[in-house]
Amino acid sequence: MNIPRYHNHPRNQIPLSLITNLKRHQEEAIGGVSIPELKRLRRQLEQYAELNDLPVEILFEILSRLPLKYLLQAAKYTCKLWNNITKDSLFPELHVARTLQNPGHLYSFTGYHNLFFADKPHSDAIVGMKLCGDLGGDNYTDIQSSAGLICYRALHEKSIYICNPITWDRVKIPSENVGREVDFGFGYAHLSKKYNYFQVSHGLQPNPRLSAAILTLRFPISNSPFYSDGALYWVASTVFCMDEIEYQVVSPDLETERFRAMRILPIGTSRNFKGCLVDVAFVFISGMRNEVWTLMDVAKDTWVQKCYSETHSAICLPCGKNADASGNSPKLVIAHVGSLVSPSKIVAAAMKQPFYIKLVIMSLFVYCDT
Amino acid sequence: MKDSFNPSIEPPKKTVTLVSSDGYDFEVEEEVALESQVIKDGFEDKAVDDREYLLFNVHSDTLELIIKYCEKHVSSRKSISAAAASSSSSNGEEALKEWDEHFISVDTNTLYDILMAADYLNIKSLLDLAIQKVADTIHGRSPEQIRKKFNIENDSIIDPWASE
Repeated sequence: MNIPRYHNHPRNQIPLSLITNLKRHQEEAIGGVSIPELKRLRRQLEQYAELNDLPVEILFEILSRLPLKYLLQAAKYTCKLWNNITKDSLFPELHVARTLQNPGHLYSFTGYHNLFFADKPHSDAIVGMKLCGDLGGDNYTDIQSSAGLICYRALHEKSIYICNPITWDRVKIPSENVGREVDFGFGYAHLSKKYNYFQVSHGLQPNPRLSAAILTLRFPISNSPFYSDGALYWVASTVFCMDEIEYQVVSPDLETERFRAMRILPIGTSRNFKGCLVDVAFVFISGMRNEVWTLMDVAKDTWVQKCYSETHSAICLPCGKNADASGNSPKLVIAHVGSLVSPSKIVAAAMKQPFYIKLVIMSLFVYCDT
Repeated sequence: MKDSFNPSIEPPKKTVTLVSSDGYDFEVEEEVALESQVIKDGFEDKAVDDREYLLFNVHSDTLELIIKYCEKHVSSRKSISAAAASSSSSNGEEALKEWDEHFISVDTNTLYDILMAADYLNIKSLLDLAIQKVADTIHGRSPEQIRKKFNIENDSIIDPWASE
């Protein structure tokens, strides 16, 4: 095909507008038709563009930016292709990536026995969304969340659940080790695309021990090798006396299944540990101020403080009351809520692996040096 | 070649020629063209004096818009960093956001063209902007309205909205 070329014009340093004019003159000279007319003709000649003609990766991206409730209730019924995209096993991963970049916030309010998820899906308006199910205010405790899933302890059942609060897919942690005094951690290792559930029970004096069960919940669709770059980090508290608590970061290496103790968190951050394991961020709340410390470099043990705003913006709650988040003193959970990941599927996949649950008992450190 | 007619004078700013699918040349500053990751990658591989890129998938109408976008972003990045250096307050980022908003408010066909071109040229910020625009346009519509707006054939078996 012989493409017309006009590059003989010495156009160095000619501003774009001039080039455009030049182009228009040429077009007019060629066709003798006005520019809007030309454009209209071109549109007519071309087949009318369809959204679904776009590359499927772009469609994935577009759909993944829709609020999940809207996507599930309406948008996915538009056509078969869209419906299939929402069912595609790769689709939840896009949401995970997005929620990791821009975590929504999960709030629970006193007086309301439900969790609210505040999100900014469109424009800058924060929308409060009541979560599915009856995650009642009195029934849960120790909520942790990461990459679209939340992990919590159901008080009356004394068991730990992992659930997707958007789709209300919920699964009980299948472990006989749950119970009594255990702490648990829940985090998403995003390099290896794994969810890690991690459970610690503290031993008794005089032989202080930390025992832990590691349950690796793997993305069922991931074909990547089992090797994991991701790690969980644990803050262990050392109580010296009533008002003196020291926090130390403990990290189980998923490869060796050994714990390593990292240095104590930066001085001044050890008050009111709120705790969550999101990209190894630890939140400390003193008064209205949230401090988030993130581990930037594992090898160098570098921590960086990321400050969240001191007050929360007002959010619009679906219960008819516009609540000022700061006024209602919500419990803020750093949350990566907002994905279609199915916890029951990943737990089922994890259970198929022969050694999905491992009990690691090792002497970690002495709590008191007396 | 066109570069040879006055070899003694070095142009103050390096330029790159982008050729659209319908054969028009667009002379742009190098840093503007480097907004495209594809051109940037190609630039690093190529010999220095080969400064012409044939963009077979981008029509001149679209390329004009893309260049406009890149020029704006390069210039406002400069002014934002200049404002930050002199520690004078500036709402440059907000102004740019507003400009983006205005820029992307185009008809559906143009939006498709921009999407395809931004994907082809790998201009991440523009692709992001266009994708978000489509998502925003979709949001809140019923499936039937979406089909109408975006020219999608209804092949869905189950449609709980069909009765409306």
